[in-house]
Order: sequence, then C-alpha cells, then structure tokens
Amino acid sequence: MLRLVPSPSEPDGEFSSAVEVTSKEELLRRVAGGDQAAFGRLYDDVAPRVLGLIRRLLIDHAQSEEVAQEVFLEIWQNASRFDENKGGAATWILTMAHRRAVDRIRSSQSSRDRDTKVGIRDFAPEYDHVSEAVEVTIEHERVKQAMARLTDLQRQAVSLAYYGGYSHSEVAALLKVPIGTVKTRLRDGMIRLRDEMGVAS
Amino acid sequence: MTDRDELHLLTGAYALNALSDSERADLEIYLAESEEARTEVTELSDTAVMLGLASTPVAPSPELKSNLMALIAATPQLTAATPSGGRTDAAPRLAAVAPLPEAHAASPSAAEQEKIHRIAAGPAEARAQARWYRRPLTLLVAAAAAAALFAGGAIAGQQFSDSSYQQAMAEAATLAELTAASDVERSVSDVSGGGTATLVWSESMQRSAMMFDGLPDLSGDRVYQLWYLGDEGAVSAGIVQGSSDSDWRVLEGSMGGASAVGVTVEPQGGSEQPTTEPIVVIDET
Repeated sequence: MLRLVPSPSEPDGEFSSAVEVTSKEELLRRVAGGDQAAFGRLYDDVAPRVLGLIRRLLIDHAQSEEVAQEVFLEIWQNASRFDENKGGAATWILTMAHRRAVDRIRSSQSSRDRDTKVGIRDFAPEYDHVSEAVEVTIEHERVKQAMARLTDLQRQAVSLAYYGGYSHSEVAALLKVPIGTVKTRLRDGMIRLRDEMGVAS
Repeated sequence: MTDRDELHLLTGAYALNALSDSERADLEIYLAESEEARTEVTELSDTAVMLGLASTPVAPSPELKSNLMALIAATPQLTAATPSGGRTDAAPRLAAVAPLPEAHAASPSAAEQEKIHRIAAGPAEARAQARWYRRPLTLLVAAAAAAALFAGGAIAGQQFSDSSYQQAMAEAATLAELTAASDVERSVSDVSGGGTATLVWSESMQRSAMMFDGLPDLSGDRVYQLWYLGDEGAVSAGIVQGSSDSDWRVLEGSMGGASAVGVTVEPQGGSEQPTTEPIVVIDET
C-alpha cells in the first residue's frame, strides 16, 4: 500500500528486541523482495553517508538531494542485482552514489559554474579541516594517514578526481601535467592507498 | 607499450570515475578478459569507497525520505530473473546514455489503448475520448518536467521494453513531482465500505493524485471512478481498476475550478457522469 509518509509507529520493534541489528546486506536482500520498510531502514542507515559524499562533489545542497534521490531510487530498482560476493552493501551504494554525482557534474554546466564559484583550492581534501567536522570517523583517520603517504602529485590527482569529480584530462589541465602522467599517478596513488589501508579482495 | 598495458594503466582512473565514456567502455572490454585487471579494479574501487566514507555525513531533509517512500511504492523493481545482458558488473556501472524515455511515456500501453477504445466505443462519448487521448500528452509534459528529479529511474527504465512499466514510470514521475511541489497538500478520508483514501494535490501544478488503502476489491465488471467536483458538476478524472495492485493514480486533467474530488463505483469502462452515490468526497481546499 502506498503511503506518502512512512508510518511512524510500525508494530515491528514493539515486542522484538530493542537492540535488533540488521546488516545492510540483509536489508538489501529484503529490499530486493519489495520490502518497503526495509528500504526505509536502509535509507536511515546510509542516507547521511550518501548525501555527505554527493555534497562533497556537488557543493549545492538542493542538487545533492536530487542526486541522492536518484541513487536511492536506483537502489530500490536494482537491489536484486546486488551481489554480496563482489563486496558489501556500503561499497555497492557509495560506488553508485559517486558515479551518479560525477554523472551530474559531467552532464551539466555545474562543474564549470562550480569552478568559478569556489576555485580549485577549496577542493583541498576534507581531512585538512578535520576540526570543523561534526563527526570524526575511523575511516576518516585511516584515509588521513594513508593520504599522508602519497607524493604531492599523487595526493592532488586522487583528491581532485575523487572529491572534485574531475576527469583525468581535467586533472591534467588543473595540475598542468601531461594526461599520461595523471593516469599513472592516479593508479600509483590508489595502489598506495589500497596497501596503506589494507584493502584487499 | 602495448594497448593492454595502456589500458591497465587506467584502473586507478576507472575506480575514481575519472575516465571518459569511451575509455571506460574500452577498459570494461579489457576487464572482461583479464582477471588480474578485474581484481585490481575491485580493490581500487573498494579503496575509493574508503575515501567516500571519510566524507562528513550530511543529514538529508525530511522531505527526501517521504518523497522516496512515495516513489518506491509506485516504482517497479528489477527482478533477479531479468537477464543482465552478460554485464560483468552490477547496476551502478550501467551506462547512462539516454536521459529520458519520453517517446515511451508518450505512447499509451496496450492495456491503456484497450481502455481508451472501450471508453471511446459510444459515439456520444466524443468528449470523453478526447479527454483520454489527451492523457499521454499530459504525461509527457509531466515526465519532462520531472526529468531532473527522476533521471535515475528513467535511465533504468531504458532497459525495459514493457510499455506498462513505462506508463507506471511516467505516472510515478508525476506523483514525484506532486509530492515535491512546494504547495503540496494532502488529506485522508475514510471510505464508506472500508479502507481509506488519500488525496494529494498541488494548486500550482493543478494536479492531484488519489491513493487507496484497503478498499474492497471490486468484481470484474465494476471499477472505481474519480471525479473532479465543482460548480460545473462532476468531471471524470480517470478510473482505478478495483484490484489491490493498482491502488493509486494521478488524476486526469487539471483541477480547474474543482473544489473536491469524489469517488464512485461505476460499470467497467467508467461513466460519463456518476451513476452511484460517492463512497468518499475529499475537499481540495
């Protein structure tokens, strides 16, 4: 049944354990089966992360919410395609969110507008302003430490590409280095980050 | 350096979504044949997710969730059985080539065609016919207007040839636009005979949508019919088949001078004017 506003008091939880924890993967499986309540819970779990990442790229809050809506709709539609063997739910969702934010930048003039508005130096990675952050996460610390191990050029290229949503050719123009150099720096930088953070499949 | 070496250098940029569409396509072909490259891309993509997790979380507006809950209730899902066309990767990597299924949204589904013909059967019902034929155009406009809001869903919709799916998407787009309107209002009312009806409308959009919850299923020869009610009398605003899986719809036409929306039970195909007492009337004020 369609409800415009999710029912605030689902009977669920009334008698079951108050500290019931359901993994995002399990929630995604339920969403794949059409469970709207599970979708609501998954949304509550990950929406601030998703929106935080998208807004990091798009800057504009209203536009970021639009893209977040697209992402969550895509989650709803494609939940059955989620394959746990290829990674966790957070990986699947955040990868999608980053891709959609980049799509939005590329498909509109927003990247150009954004450049003139904020200027390139504002894309300095967020971990530099950690004191302003509302929430300091473990991931944040790990990324900060790993980033410190990169060369300047690697760090700048990776930051501009990931947090700025720039293509490698744009990164090359911004950093005034050849595209070939950017390609290798992006790969070397990511491999270094992978090793520093102990990410392995 | 060989082409393969060139391509292999792109794994980092790929994980960061920093490739052009054509380079991405080239690399995906290479990934399909190189397990080593696939492993590297997977690991670097996971690493990129770590960068994403390091961003400061931002609390979304409450509207985002309420819009989404309304949207998903009206949006069909891909089933696990849907062939993936042999793609090696999951949905996020599906290329977003065409923005909107406008052409599809403009053509009524087979069921809709049938409905149109049924309704247009009587020669005296020329006006009703015109009204029903106007419908796809209205949907087209709504779909275009909701483009930005609904791009994600529309892109996925490209994979479907099913026109009823397109129809559902177009209606869902209108519903999404309605619920996102700055002046959206809603009103819930009990329905005589059981269940509730929720009317959502926007004065600025001049559109309304009706949602039924728990209404009795009707037998095959009767339908629920929606009416705009005003000084001019009752104007048909569409039909809801009395089955549980089609329990909402965007009303036909615009609000105009109507001050309320009513629902009656009518013979299959609908009536020109109400032939029974309304089971619910909701004021649009």
